[in-house]
Order: sequence, then C-alpha cells, then structure tokens
Amino acid sequence: MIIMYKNQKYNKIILFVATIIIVLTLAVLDLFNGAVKINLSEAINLLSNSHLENDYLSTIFFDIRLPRILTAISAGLALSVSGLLMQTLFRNPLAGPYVLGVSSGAGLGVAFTVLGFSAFGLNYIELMGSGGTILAACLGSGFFMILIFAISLKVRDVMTLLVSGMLLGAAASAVINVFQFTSSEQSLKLFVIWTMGSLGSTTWQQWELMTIVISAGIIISIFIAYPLNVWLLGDENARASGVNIIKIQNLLFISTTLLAGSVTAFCGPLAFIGIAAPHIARIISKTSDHRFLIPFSALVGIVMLLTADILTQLPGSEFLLPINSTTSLLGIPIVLWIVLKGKKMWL
Amino acid sequence: MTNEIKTTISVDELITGYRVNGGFKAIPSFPLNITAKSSELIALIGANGSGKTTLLRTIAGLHPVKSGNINICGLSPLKANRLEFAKCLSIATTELLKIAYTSVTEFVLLGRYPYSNFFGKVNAKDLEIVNMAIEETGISFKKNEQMNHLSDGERQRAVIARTLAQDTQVILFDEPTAFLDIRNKFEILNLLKTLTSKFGKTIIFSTHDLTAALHLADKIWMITSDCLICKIPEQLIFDGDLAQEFNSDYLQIDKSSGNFNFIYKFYLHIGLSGGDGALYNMTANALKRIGFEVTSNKNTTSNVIIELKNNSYIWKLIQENEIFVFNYLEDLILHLKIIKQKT
Repeated sequence: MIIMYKNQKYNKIILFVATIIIVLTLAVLDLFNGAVKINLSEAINLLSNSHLENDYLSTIFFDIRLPRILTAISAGLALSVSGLLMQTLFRNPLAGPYVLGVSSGAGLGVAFTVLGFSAFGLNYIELMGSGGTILAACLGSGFFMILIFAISLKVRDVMTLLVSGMLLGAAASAVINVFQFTSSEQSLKLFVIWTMGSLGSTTWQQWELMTIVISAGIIISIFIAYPLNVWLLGDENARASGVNIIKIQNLLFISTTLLAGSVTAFCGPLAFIGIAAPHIARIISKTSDHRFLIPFSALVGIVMLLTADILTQLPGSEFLLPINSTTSLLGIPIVLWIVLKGKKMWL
Repeated sequence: MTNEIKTTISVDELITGYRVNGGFKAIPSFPLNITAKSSELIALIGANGSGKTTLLRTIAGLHPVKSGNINICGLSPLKANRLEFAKCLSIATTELLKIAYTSVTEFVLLGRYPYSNFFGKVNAKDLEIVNMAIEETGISFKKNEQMNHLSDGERQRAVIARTLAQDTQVILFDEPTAFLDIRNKFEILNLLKTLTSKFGKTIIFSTHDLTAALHLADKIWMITSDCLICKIPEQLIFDGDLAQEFNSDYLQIDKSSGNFNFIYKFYLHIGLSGGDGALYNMTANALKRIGFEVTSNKNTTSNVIIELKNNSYIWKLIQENEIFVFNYLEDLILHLKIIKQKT
C-alpha cells in the first residue's frame, strides 16, 4: 500500500510540473501576442539591456504586457482558490465568487468609494488610492460573503442558493445604479470601465499591492487545507473528528474575501473562472484533497485566465475583446456541463 | 486484545432535547441513566422520533446537554478538548457521505485527523493503522476505488474503516444498516461484532432492524415512551418488554421463541392434509395470507389435499361435492381468492 500511495504521489507531481510548463508557455505566448509585434531577437535585446528610456517597445513590454500577464497570473490564482473554498464551504459544485454575488459585493464596495465620494464632491483618486480600492472591495465582498452564508444556513438546496446569489448580485447592481445616477461624469466613466473587467489597467504598484493581499489569502487557505478535507465529510463528522469548525470557517471567510475582493478591486468582476477552474482541477487529478487541489486549481485558473487573455487579442485581428467575454466563453460550457450532470456531481 | 472489562460510557441523569417555540422539549422525555462496557455491541432501538439519534449525538458531544453528566473513558464530551475527545470516541452519522474524487484509502486516512500535524503528513504508523482498518473491514479489494463508485454495502465498510482508523475505544453508528440488503445487513453487523470482541471496543449502533439486533447484539438499549430499558436480547424477549413495545393488531412477538408473528384476519375455515412438512407449511402459510383459518381435520366444508402424482405434487380442492385439481399452488390460491371475494 505504501508503494501505491507513493505512485499516486508521483503522478500528481508529474501533473503539477506539466501544468507549470503550460503556464509558462502561455505566459510567453501572451507576452508576444498583441497589436504591436515583438519578435524574439527584439525581446532578448529588451531583456538583456533591461530598461531603455523612451523606447516605445520597452514601454509596451515592461509597462503594459508584463504587468498584464502578472495580473492575469495573480487573478487566475486568486479566483480559482476562492471558488474552490466556496465550493467546499457551501458543499455546492456551482459555488463561486461571481455566481454567488461576492464579486458584485466587491463591486458595490468599489462603487461606494468611486461614485459615492464624487457624489459628495470629493475626488476619490486623490483621497483613497489603490489601498482604498482594495479595502473597499474586500469589505464589500466580505459583507456579501456573510450574507450568502447566512442564506445558505436556511436553504440547503443547491439551486436555491444560486438564485439567492443572483438576487444579491442584482441588488448590488441596483444600488450601484443609484450611485451612478448621482455621480459626476468623470468618476462614472472611471467606474464603467472598471465594470467591464480588465487585466491591462493595472500598474506595477497596484499589482504589487494586489499580490501581497492575495498571498495573505493563499497562506490562510494553505493553513486550513487539511481540516477542509475532513470537513467534506459533513459538519458533524468533522466536529467528531476534532475539527474546530468555527475557526476553519472564519479563516475560510477571510481568505475568500481577500482573494475575491483584491482581484475584483483592480480587474473588475471576472466571470466563471472561480467555478470552472476547481472543477477542471478535480476532474484531471481525481482527488478532492485540498492540499493538492489548492495549488493545482490555482495553476488551472492561471491557465484559463492566460488563455482568455490571449483570446482577447486574436492573432491577425485588430479588435480587442473584453476579458469578461472570453472568460465567460471558456467557463460557461463547464458550468453548463456541471448543471446537466446534476445530482451525480459530488464534491 | 483486552481481557479486562471496564466501564467505558456512563450517563447520569442526562436530559437532552430541543428548543421548541421558546420552550424546551426533552427527547426522550425522561432522565437517562446508562452504562456501557468494553467489548460490548449495543443496539439502540426505539420507534421513530423516540430520540435514538439525539442520544447518539449527545454522547458524541455534537448536541448540547440540558442537565446531567456524560463520561466517556474519563472525558466529558462537551468540556473536553475536541481533539483529545476524538481519540476516545468516533461516530459515523447519516450525513450523506457523498464524496467523489476520493479513494477509499484517502477517505480512511481522514480518520487519522486527531493524530496528525496541521498539514496531515502521513507517517508509517498512520499507514499501518489505515491498512489494518481496511483489511479488517474487508474492503481491501476496493482500496484504490473512488468512494462514489462503491455500492452501499462497500461504502458502509469504508465508513467503518474510517472510524476504526480513528483508533477510539467507543464507536457510535447511526443506522449503519439502513438501505442495505439483508445479506449486507448481517455482514455489517457481524463485522461490528467481530470488532468488539477482537479489539475490546464499545460499539453502539441505532437500528430499526429488530431481528438482526436481537440475534447479534450483546445488549439492547430500548427507548420506550417512559424509560430506557437496557438488557441482553433474550431477557428483553422473556420479560415481555419487546412485546409490550411492538405488539399490535398485526404483529405479535412470541415470548418463547423470540419470533415475530404476523396476525392474519380469518374469515373462512379450510382443511389441509397431505404433502411433506415444508410443502404443507408453505401451503398453510399461503392460505393464511389470503384469510383462511387452516385446520388439519377434514370436517370443514372445503378441504385441500396435497397428493403426489407422477413425481409432482398436485393440490385437490374438495368443496361440497365438487373437486378441483391444481398443478401449481399459485393456481389454487388464485381460485380460492375468487371464491372468497364471492362469499
């Protein structure tokens, strides 16, 4: 049995390494993909000479594409892990930050600051900056996370919970609409661009801030990975095994809130990565062990978001599609498949 | 393993229950006093809603206590450190164990949670105990199978293996035999019995399956409307406790054999003779089932005679002056049913 156990371990390591190679390949592809063509020799030149001032290629490479790709990596990682945690919390294969309204909550937080401040004649950007956006988004997503969890204690049904999540999302939009009505033109424009979702509007400084918050969320999730495995057996069986459910639940809340909130703060609501990535990870690895699934879902999420980003700039096309369309097109078929599989789909 | 019999569970004046509309409803409605020893297989029986599950959950520390004391191997379920308590008592509840993408081995390894570090690193001792649990429960041929691919009986074995891997003195099962066919039922209960005698464990399981419980358990805890009776099965039958609790217009428990007898409503008399023992009995049962009181003398107006003809049995029905011959028991019963409906 020990041999068998080790064999499975090796298979997982191989899977892990293969996915990392895919991530690196996609990252490089994404780096070269765009309206301005950069060929290999130019790229090597750019990298070896480090930063050349006033060189437009250098600006595109270091200040536009590299932050965009790093943002995609951080965001894909954060969204998929928050989706995985929510699926375990709700014992619901269709849970995710977007469908359950947690991203909308973050959006509401951002709207509250961006639009709300301007309603009082204050300039949001000067007052708050990136830290403020992240804080507002995390507070919003945390609040909505608590709301949807309170609802989940009343309704055990998978589909009813989803409808509730959508209602929360709709409520958030309604409140945002009220804000939009009263806000200045300048901040409204800022906010509308934000709602479309984007990987490319993040600055280096914002990316650093976002990644620090995401790292905190990931570290918490790694701490609760093993108890979460036992928790999958159900609340009572887990308690009888000695799991401190309240503590794990609180840590899970904090982790999900940090992950979903920080991504939404800078990239807008990115749809369906959070549901789909953990499922693909489970199906490929055939395990529900969080100690493996957390890093592996993260990798799958990165693969998905990088692919979505490459698809926004289809080679040979001049148009730039919104990132939310491509993540939806990638994610929805998987979600649909889960719905069609119905009750056979267990966590 | 352990020759010494010791008290593992003691419950004093325990009252537990639920808050209902601001008030408190005690389930069961009386204080409980009960003890259990090592090497005991205890069946917890009682009607629906009598508080079997509540009692198990309370002993396991999953349900609050209104008053009274519980002592499990020296620990109090509600006051003890949860991890320490998990090393002396394990429970398998009926919470749906709908787990996919988990192999039997991984699932059983989860039983080692109270003993492992925070990241759950598996050591040699864990593997040894898990391996033993899988062997003992007879699920080793499926140990790499995914949990959701198992049959109900196999899944129940894996569940038992997990509680065994938790390495506790006391194990509680809430309805381990529900949804199982009769063969699996007896196999699972036999397995529990083996575990109690081999490892000296105290195992308590709730069940609605009286026959299996009476045949296999060392002790029966029966929750009635006014007390909890704790006796060995035979005493329970002899003292008439079972009869008092479960006898009805349709079911009677025979005090001398412990058998369950159905009570049929008889409308007509019929005589029956011939045939060997088994065939006579089965014919008599079939006649009783459709409402005939069977007598062995031929004085009644209708008589059935079983005869051997050309190496096969035939059933002759003599009714007043008519004689009907049937080649199959089923045809005889069908004929009599029609007659009965006419009268």
